[in-house]
Amino acid sequence: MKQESEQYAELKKYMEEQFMFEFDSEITEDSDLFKAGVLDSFGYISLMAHIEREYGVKFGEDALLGNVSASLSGIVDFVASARRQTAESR
Amino acid sequence: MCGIAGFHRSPLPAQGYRELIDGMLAQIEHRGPDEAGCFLDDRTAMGTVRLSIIDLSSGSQPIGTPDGRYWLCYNGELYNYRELRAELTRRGVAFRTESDTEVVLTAWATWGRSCLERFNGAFAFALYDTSTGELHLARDRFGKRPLYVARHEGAWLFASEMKAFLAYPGFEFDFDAQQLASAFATWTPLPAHSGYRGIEQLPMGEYLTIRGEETERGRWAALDLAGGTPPATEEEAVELVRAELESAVDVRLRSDVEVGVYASGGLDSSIIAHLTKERAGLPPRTFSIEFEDAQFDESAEQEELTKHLGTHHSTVRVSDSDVVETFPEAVLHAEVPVFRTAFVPMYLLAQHVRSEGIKVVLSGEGADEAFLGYGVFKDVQLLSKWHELDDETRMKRMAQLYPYLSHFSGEDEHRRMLGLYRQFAEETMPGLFSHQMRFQNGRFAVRLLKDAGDPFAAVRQLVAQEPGFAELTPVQKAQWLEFKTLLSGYLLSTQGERMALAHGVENRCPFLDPAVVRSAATVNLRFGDPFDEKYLLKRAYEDVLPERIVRKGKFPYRAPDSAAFVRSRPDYRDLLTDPGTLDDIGVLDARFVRRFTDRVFDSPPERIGTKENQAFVLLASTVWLHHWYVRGNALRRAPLAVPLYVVDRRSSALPA
Repeated sequence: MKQESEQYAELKKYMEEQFMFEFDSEITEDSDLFKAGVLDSFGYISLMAHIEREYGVKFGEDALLGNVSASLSGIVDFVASARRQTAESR
Repeated sequence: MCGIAGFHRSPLPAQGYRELIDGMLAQIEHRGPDEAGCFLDDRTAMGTVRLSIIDLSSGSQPIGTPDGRYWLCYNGELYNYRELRAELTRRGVAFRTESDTEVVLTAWATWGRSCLERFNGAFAFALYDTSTGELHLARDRFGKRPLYVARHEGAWLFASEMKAFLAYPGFEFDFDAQQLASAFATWTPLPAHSGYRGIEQLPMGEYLTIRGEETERGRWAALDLAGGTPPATEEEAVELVRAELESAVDVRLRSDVEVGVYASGGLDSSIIAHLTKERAGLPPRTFSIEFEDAQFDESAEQEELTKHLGTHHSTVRVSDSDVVETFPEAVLHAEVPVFRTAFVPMYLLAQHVRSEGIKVVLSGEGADEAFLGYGVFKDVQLLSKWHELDDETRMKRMAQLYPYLSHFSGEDEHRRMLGLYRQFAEETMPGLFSHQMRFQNGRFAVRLLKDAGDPFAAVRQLVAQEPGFAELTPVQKAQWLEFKTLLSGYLLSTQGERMALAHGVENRCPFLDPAVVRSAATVNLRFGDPFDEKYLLKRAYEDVLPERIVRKGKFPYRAPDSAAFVRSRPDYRDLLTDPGTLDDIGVLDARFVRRFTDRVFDSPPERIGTKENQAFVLLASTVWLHHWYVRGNALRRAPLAVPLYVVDRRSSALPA
């Protein structure tokens, strides 16, 4: 199981490479990536598939975008929370 | 079909008007290479380059009323000209020609501006009233023919294509950053926008009257998306659609030259090819594009259709490198930023059609907007009912949205999509509910621009100012947006009219007959499964077309994009990032342009998604537009190739 800081760095790198941008003063780790023009439906599905594969969480309607903005920090928090819930339910 | 150009209330001396109008018309001679003519007086110069289609012998322009009061420069076809001519004849009008142009002129002289409401056609014109000194400009209801207007040092300039302005002394092009941002985000320039400062496009269905220092503008035709009372049964609905389409094809076959058909292999153009054969009594000549790259190619469907109808068919085969090499020339004719390359093969197709001796073609354009053929119409039906549905139904509907896209096909994808769609089930962009997802995706391209501001401010304002927009259903709002943005701003113009007229080919669109659009609005969503796109069209023609074509489902017409440039022209990396060019263009964010271009050229093609491809084409077209228009390289030095017929009403004090 990867730690959250590792997860943060890895997701950040994956997103920068996959979606052709870099986090900077304009697009920060808290920016909504839809509103920033980084994510589209194709990118979103790819990102969800990547997270499911790498971090063992499953998404449905009340997943990611249902409750949090699609920012790097929001995504990492969500994945950590989902994984904690999965661990507690075992 | 023709091109018009001119100027009004110019401070320049009238002695030079003939040379100026010659220069402006030479810029658009490709639109009408058969004849040229102009009208001159001390206040106004306006002219026409003519593509002779109706009344080849006596339909020359400009044409004036017998009393010499009204003069008309006209671009287009009036499909119901015979009916209007008969009506005017009954009122005692004696016509001198057999042309539709004289019907337009006489209708205006008889009924004034209200004549526009009687017109079923594709047109744009300038009508000059020598008695009052008023210049009237008007454009057809769906924006099939273009008309640009510019102010320059006290003069009003107008033309079918903006490149004509380059021939007017001192006129210069300069990008408008806000209009570019809007175009990049919403895929096309908005109805009144051109992308350049000081140039306005007369919006579809509108007129502009210039009266001294004053102007009057207004709309003469609104989109009727509500339709009439629906038929009681599906069979009656089918009959209604068939009857209106037959009439629409009948009037569009009115021509003194042979009429061909663009046959893409899709449902819409197949219906038109079938109807053309049926109404004309013999199989038409059909034309299509064959792509070397199989992912874009529909030649199997084209072959099945043309064999089925027995048409004389010919194709133009297009490779990746054809698209890349022809791109700059096609952008010269497009004149505005472009978000995909699909217009380039259409340019090559029109060239082929003209080389085969054909001047007029019918196409299936408009069917998707009228009969709800696009995924966005299904999207908005799902999203507007989202909170009433359970997850199982939502996922079932998602499977019907875009089956040809990999990320929309598969149970896992549909489950992941639930979260995405839920976010867009709320309206966050006022009035733009149906297009929120598309427009959000457009934000990526806006990053190419610096100082872009809010790229959605203009489109929000457009819908906010539309009377009755708030009362439309979610699907009708989506239709309205499609008609006002993608259809008129790209499909009819860049991909349609401009590419065809670059080679002197006139395109006609039966699905955009006002009666067809109204009948579609009447029957849409009242019969069949609302997630089965164009249900009634399929029902109406399933018994006469090959089953494969009727049942195939939507296959968007696309063409090779960034990967083709990367593979065949690696020098485009330098061309798009040249510091001198970027600095000169001014509105582009040079830093992001370089990062983006490097990523495109250094990444495997499968990593480049739709929004990156769109951004790439927008960037490349903007760089070429800068070359052609801002730097002025689109200015043609050669005069008109055909003699200029001149109606000279300049004051006698002026030298001849």
